[in-house]
Amino acid sequence: MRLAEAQDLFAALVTGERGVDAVAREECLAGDSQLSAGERARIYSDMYLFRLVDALREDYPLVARLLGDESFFALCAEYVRAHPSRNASLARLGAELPAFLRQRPALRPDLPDLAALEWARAEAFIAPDSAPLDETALRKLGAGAGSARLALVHSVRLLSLEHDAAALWADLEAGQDPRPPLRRPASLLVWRKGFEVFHAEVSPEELAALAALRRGATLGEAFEAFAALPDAAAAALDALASWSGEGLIAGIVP
Amino acid sequence: MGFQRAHLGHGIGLRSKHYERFLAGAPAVGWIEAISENFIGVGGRPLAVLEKARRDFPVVLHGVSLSIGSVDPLDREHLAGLRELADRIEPAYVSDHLCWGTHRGRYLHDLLPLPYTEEALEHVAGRVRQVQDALGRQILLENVSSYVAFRGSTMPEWEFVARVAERADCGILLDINNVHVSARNHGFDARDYLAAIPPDRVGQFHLAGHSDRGTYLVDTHDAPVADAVWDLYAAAVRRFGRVPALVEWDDHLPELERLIEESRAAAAIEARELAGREGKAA
Repeated sequence: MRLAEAQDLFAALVTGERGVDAVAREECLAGDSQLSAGERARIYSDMYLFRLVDALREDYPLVARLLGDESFFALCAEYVRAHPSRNASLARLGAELPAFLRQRPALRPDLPDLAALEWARAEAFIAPDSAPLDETALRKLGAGAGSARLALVHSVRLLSLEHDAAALWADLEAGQDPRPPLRRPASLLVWRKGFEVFHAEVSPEELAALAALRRGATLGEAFEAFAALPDAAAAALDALASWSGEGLIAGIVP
Repeated sequence: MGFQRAHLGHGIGLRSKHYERFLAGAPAVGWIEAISENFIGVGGRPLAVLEKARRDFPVVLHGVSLSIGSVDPLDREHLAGLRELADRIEPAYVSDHLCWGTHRGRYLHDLLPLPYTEEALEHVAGRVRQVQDALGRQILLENVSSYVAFRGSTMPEWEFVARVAERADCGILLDINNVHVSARNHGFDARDYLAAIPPDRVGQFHLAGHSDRGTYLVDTHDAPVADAVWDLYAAAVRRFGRVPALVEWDDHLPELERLIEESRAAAAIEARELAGREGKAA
């Protein structure tokens, strides 16, 4: 049997996603009086799912807590069948779980939003470093500020959610019983300062302005997100001061 | 070209549970081994810990996803990330496993065994050379624990390991626990394995705990090093001499002090065996 054929067969045994004829298995793998070929292959297939579920549990500890071990395992097993790992790092395995949850009936309607928040926090925790811009550099822009383009630090994540996932997150994180799902739009900003990850609810306007900056808009264009507010200029300047204070701005794009 | 062994002493694996300790000070270990994939393209606390550790100790980058034996194309993006990390960290070694773990673009995140055939030997050796070219350095390949054997194998594992290292001109990371686990699972003598490995290719040892499931052993890294593995380590020191040795512990990870104790136990065995060897030579 060629190497490629052996790996096709063994991968099918490990993932359990494609049936393998017992005769083909016995032709490829050796068993003995201690353990048959099938029992030996099963050691790998058992470990395969456990390893992936463990990795997902690290990134989604609160989703796991909310669902309980058995349901979380079943969810992850379905998930990795639909979204096999394409990255050398297990830390990227869970990227599609929030979207996957949105496509199927969940235990709670706010589960996909909780997953989105956990994933954003997990990504922010390991995002590449970027040094925040010194506040004086922003002040120096002066009259030219409106046409400046600002780069955000790598850890910034912007979430538009349909439920109050931050409150659910806080309950679970504190070890309390989760409150019932509360359906309301929520704009969340996630970022890392030093080694610590934070999230905060912001106005939809602020989230839109940050999204515009990320797309490469000028500060003036980004501030248009605040236009409909009664005191648009003050809201925009407050937001900018807060971004700068929290270290969200990495630099001025030349 | 040949292989140059580094002299590092006894080390432990860098695990997130102990990050704070490595940030706060320099624990009493000879060197540390970091899992490469946990640091590629990553910043924040993990990278800060690794940067601090590299200032305090020699560092080895040990990968789990190279999939050197797969018939899939090499993951060039991963290799570029590994090169960038290695250039930044300047590790004493870059190592991975003599196995495969990707299939048709999918990462299985396991260390799957190869059939020990001439075809696999040529395939692996060619890919090691490509990886070494991409990284601009030699790598070490580690023997894995296995639970199954391919009927098509035409040589024992130890011959395969030795011939890959010679053909590809790379080093060997000899995992003593894996030799023991596989010996028990496949019914061969672990000493035969050691005897067939060329000493001048061995750059590092791994030591770890395993679990006994009755009819087979599993390489679980969740327990102290077993007595039988300490005995095999002593035999390895007698054959290979002073080789940097590392204690791996992943699940049920104890406090750092316990890990350091395990590493010191290894150092004591090495000292005892080397003294015995010199005594005999004198």
